[in-house]
Amino acid sequence: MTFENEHSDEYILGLLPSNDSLAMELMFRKYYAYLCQTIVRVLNDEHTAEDLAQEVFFDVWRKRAEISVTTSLRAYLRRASVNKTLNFIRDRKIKWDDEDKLASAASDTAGIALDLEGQDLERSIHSAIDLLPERCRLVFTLSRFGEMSHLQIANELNISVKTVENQMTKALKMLKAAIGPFLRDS
Amino acid sequence: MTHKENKDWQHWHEQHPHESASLLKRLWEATGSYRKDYHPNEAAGLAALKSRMNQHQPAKVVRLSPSKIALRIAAGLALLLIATFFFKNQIGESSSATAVSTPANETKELALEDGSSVTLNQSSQLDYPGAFSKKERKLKLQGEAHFKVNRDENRPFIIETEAGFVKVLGTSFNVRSYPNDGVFEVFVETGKVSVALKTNDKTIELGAGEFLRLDKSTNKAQKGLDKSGTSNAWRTGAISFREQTIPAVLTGMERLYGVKMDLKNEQPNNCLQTLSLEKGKMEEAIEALKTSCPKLKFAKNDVGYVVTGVCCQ
Repeated sequence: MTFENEHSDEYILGLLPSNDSLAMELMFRKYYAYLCQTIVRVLNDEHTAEDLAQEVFFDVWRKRAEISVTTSLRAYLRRASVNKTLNFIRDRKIKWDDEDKLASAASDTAGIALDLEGQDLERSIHSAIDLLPERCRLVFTLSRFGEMSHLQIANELNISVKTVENQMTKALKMLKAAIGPFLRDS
Repeated sequence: MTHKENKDWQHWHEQHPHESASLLKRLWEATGSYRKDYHPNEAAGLAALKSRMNQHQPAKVVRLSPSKIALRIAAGLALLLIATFFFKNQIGESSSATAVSTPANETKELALEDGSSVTLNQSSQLDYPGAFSKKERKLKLQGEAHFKVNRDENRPFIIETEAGFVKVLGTSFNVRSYPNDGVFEVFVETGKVSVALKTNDKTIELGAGEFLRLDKSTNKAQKGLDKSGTSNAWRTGAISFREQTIPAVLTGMERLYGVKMDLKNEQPNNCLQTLSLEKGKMEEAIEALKTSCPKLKFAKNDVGYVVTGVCCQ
């Protein structure tokens, strides 16, 4: 491939010790959008997603002397951005109970999306995920986009595995109700 | 599916052994498009990263005698503390969010960082960052609030509610979005406001004096002129109706007195009323209505009144 942003991970990592600034730029161009998207899917906040993704690259640059990537660079960066996201959530100290109460009132109206003409699948997926109660949404997006097991999610959010499973079941049920009509059995 | 996606899916499938495989698969594929339309500003991000890299000077390698090492470590620690402090401050400023909420019997005045002001109605909550971003001023509202927004052409002011987004450059207006009442409403006092509903593609432009009311149960939106001041009644404490229908007057009473006015009448109730309502004078308001419509009956219940009969044939 000849695209500027498609240099191989080996090439980028090999460049890091000798020409760190070029290596960082290539890495940034290849993965920045991917990391922002991963974080935004969990946090639903574009501004913070961009801040946190930049933090991930800055950390790589700061630790460039001792860094060792044992998985793929993509998986390494994704893991790092999910960790950043989790730290951000912890620092924010979200009050789950309140938010769940508020959000469940909001989610009662999730069904209205389906009554509209010209409503497409993509939009209804968006609004269905956005309207999940906050904690339910977080568990779902970490599972779907963060490549985390139920046990990992439970540990990170300081809740029981049972709670993770319950939230996941709730999320799948609500999403099925909201977008199910668009999906054919396959 | 690409190889990578296939691996992710296998992982997800293993994580949810109790779910039906076909349901999981359909949701896996469908949700893959979530937020795919979002593309960050790469050039701006790269510039920000590079400037941080430049500020962070590489350490020079200097051989130290053991006596100097302790001194260096102390100096290093002090620097690290300062750096951490500075860093935390920076992060705190750019991403810390404020949530202000009001109890059931109180309203609150807020001054925002950009000079705009907000009056938050009872039982409402407003979330906003400590400092707005350079591109936009974003807030989240649950409940009702009146905004007076300072004009900034380069930074639109965007309020997210359950049912839609309200976007302005600078103007004064009222937004009502309580989770438990069936209405989402935006009313514009001065300037121009655009409203994007979450459930369809349309953006609705509102001018001075205009309101948009979305009935959340039927999902029908209605645009109109609010001459009586119903939308602002919670702040002004008064509504004055000029030739308005009975249902419009009852809605005004609901807003002003915080009660439910349940109109049971199926027949047209279209004769027009001219009257003024004042805060705290609900009994008088009902008396005034009874005087001009002797056939209208008001029966009190625990949330307000059930209204039956017709005003005129």
